[in-house]
Amino acid sequence: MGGGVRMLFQGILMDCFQKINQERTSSSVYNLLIGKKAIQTIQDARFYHIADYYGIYPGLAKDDYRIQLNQLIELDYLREDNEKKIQITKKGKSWLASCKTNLDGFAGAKYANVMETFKQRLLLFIQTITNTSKKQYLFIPISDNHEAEQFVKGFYKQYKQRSKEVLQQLYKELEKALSGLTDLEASMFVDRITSYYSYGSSLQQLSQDYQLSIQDCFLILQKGFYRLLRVQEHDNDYLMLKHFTKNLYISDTPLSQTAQHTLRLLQKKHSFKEIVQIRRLKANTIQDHLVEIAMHEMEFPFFDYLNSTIYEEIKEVVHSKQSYRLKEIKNNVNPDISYFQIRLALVLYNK
Amino acid sequence: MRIIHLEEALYRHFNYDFFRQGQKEIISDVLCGKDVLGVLPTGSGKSICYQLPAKLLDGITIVVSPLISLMIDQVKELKAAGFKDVIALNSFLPFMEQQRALNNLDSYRLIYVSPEWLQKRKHQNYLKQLPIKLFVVDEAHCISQWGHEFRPDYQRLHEVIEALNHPPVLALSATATPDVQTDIIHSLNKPDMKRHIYPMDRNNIAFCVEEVENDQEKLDRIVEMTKSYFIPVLIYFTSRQIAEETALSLSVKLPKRNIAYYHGGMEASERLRIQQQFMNNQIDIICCTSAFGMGINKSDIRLVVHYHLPLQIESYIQEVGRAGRDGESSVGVILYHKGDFRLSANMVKNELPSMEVIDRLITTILTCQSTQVDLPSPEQLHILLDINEGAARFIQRQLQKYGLIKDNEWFIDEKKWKQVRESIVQYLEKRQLYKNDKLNELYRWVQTGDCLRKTLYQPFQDGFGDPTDQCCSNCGFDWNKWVPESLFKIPEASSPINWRKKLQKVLNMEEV
Ligand SMILES: [Zn+2]
Repeated sequence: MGGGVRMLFQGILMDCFQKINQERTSSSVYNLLIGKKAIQTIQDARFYHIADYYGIYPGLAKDDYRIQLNQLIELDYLREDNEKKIQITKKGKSWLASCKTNLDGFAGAKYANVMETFKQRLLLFIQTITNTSKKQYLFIPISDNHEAEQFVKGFYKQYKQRSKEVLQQLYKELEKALSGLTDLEASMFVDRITSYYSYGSSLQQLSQDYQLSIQDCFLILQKGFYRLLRVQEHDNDYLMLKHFTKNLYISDTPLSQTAQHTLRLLQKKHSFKEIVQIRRLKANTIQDHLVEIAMHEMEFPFFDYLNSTIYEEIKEVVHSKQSYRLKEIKNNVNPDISYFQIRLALVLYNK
Repeated sequence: MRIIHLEEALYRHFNYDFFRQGQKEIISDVLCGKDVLGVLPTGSGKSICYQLPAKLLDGITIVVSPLISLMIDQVKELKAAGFKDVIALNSFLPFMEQQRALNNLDSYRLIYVSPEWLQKRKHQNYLKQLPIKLFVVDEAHCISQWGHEFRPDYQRLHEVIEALNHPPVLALSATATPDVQTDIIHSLNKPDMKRHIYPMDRNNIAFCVEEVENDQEKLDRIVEMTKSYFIPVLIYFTSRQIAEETALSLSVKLPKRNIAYYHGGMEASERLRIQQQFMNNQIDIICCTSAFGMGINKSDIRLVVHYHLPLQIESYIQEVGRAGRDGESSVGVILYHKGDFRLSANMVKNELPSMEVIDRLITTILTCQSTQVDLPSPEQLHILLDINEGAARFIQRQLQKYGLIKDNEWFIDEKKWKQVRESIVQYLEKRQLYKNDKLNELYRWVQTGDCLRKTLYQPFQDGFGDPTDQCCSNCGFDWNKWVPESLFKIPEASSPINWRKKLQKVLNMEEV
């Protein structure tokens, strides 16, 4: 148990719950994994240092998540209290320590906006170019995503005369990038690719071939894609791969549309009250936006809403109580300090 | 000169060298603007009968198709084959895509629609603007109450045809008994329809029925059968779960074979992978439910095994008909034991709601209405009741028919319900009887001591062609004499360490 990539999914769950340390319910981790665009989720990702897992499993079914969780509870690795908050047990901690190294390699929050499109573009392009270079112009595309199709069409037009070169370069880059993974991870990644030579394996098939759970297979594939995204960003040897991120905006976490609107008003120097009036939204909602913006923007005017005494007081409680739980903090500071101020203070504290 | 012209067109547009039986006759009449009823056996390329006209007619061809997944598969295949101006319209299309499509309908040649989609007045108005040159009713037996896949929306197609100002109509089916044929013509209100009826028997398929003691023996038989034959095999199940489990047990018992499962509960992109791998001969055995095969054009499936039987003969004929489309010798095997009938009878029962369930629904709605509690819409009535999709659809249609549901809103009052209840009771009983009869007919056939070929096709036609190979297990079937060509080699074992080699193959690189 614990070795290799087996139990990757469980490992990630355990890691999350250990870091959250009984401050959130079980659904918070589910929301994290599917990449829910809620302020609470984005904030959790930051505060608890689990942003790398943000959105790594968009299609995860709630039932499957619950099944895994229940298994871990049954094994006595985790415990669920009456408020549905999850606590990691001693047994769980030592189990987790034994498989720690395998959990690296994700960069969920960082590539949240990019991942799906990058994946679709790359896979569809490989299918297209390997088929056409064998004079096979008729094939059923692996993805019917409109955006990916348009992108691949344009890219293909540009390179169709040099398909051999393109394939060689692609091999060079994929080989180099995948070499940073284990053989098993690389092998699984290659099996998933659809090309002229073969139609890629389904998750079910990978699960059978590698004797791993479907979830673990999915996450291992994701790891492969995160690896590709990372190398193309940091290394100039990956010209082809870089191309597949064209026009995609890499940011740490997405700022919601509605918060962007508020941000624009803020940049025009409107006051909080004015923004509430202009947008005809509740003050609470605008506060949510401000917290979201505060997490994103390098220069957020924290001290328009806090003063240093308030900030210090909150910081003090976080230290003494070793907790980010809003309610707990609220109960231990001056009653005049609002939840909004506490949330902002926590953002600042984590910056 | 039309004949030469047609064959050329067939080659130019679809790359086929010649027409199969019936296709040319039907297409010629369609191109002359006649209303046509075509009954062609499964696997004979029914769709060419409208796909080629769609290419040749100066206007748009509409195809009504009952199964959305089938529709989507066909569009994918057509696109892959270079037929680009085609689209499938149905209620599952995302709103934006639907709008984009609706605003550009005149840029398509071939438009597939679901019957539900077509019922919407708004959609009809879009279609009315178009130069529609052919209106195709695919799987036309769905029109008839006596057809095995009765779809009430199909019965209102004549209204749509009228609204579209009577374009030529082509109705197609693979399984229509003479009664059903008459029903189709009557319901479409086209008495002068020209009938092109072709025999549906498949002389290259041998039929074998094997009685076993239990499910374990079914599995053992499948292992025995597939152990020595390296050919594409389909195994049909009525339960998704058993399909999955059997695929896994088979993989354990036949470790060198590529075995997969396929059913409607899987994600669409995963289903596509399995389907395409099967087409590419990367998989040899598929354990599937009836969701598989509709749009599949694999011509060299050699063996179709029924681990579970469907619920009527027509479905069996369709499923077994996926074998041997290339005309080569193929076999259909039915494995059954005494307990199977009860299982099937249970499924038949669950396909229709019980009257108690309907009564309970009405009471719930009346209570909610009087207490002003929010109700789910009629399309979501399965949330109120724990029943299967078919049964929910039955209730919707019945309430619609009597005006108790209009435009996806409830219009239920106690008085009206009392008036119509008895009619619904009677209709429900009639449908139950019909479905039970169909099931009994199928099991009578399975248990017959007579020639299986003769008795299978009897309800549909007089006589049948001589089998090209062996006939059936009742006429004496010998496995030793069945030697289909092996399609698969035993795959070489690959180890993860060799991933670079695989990547080279995947990227068409010559091996270094
Ligand atoms: Zn016979």
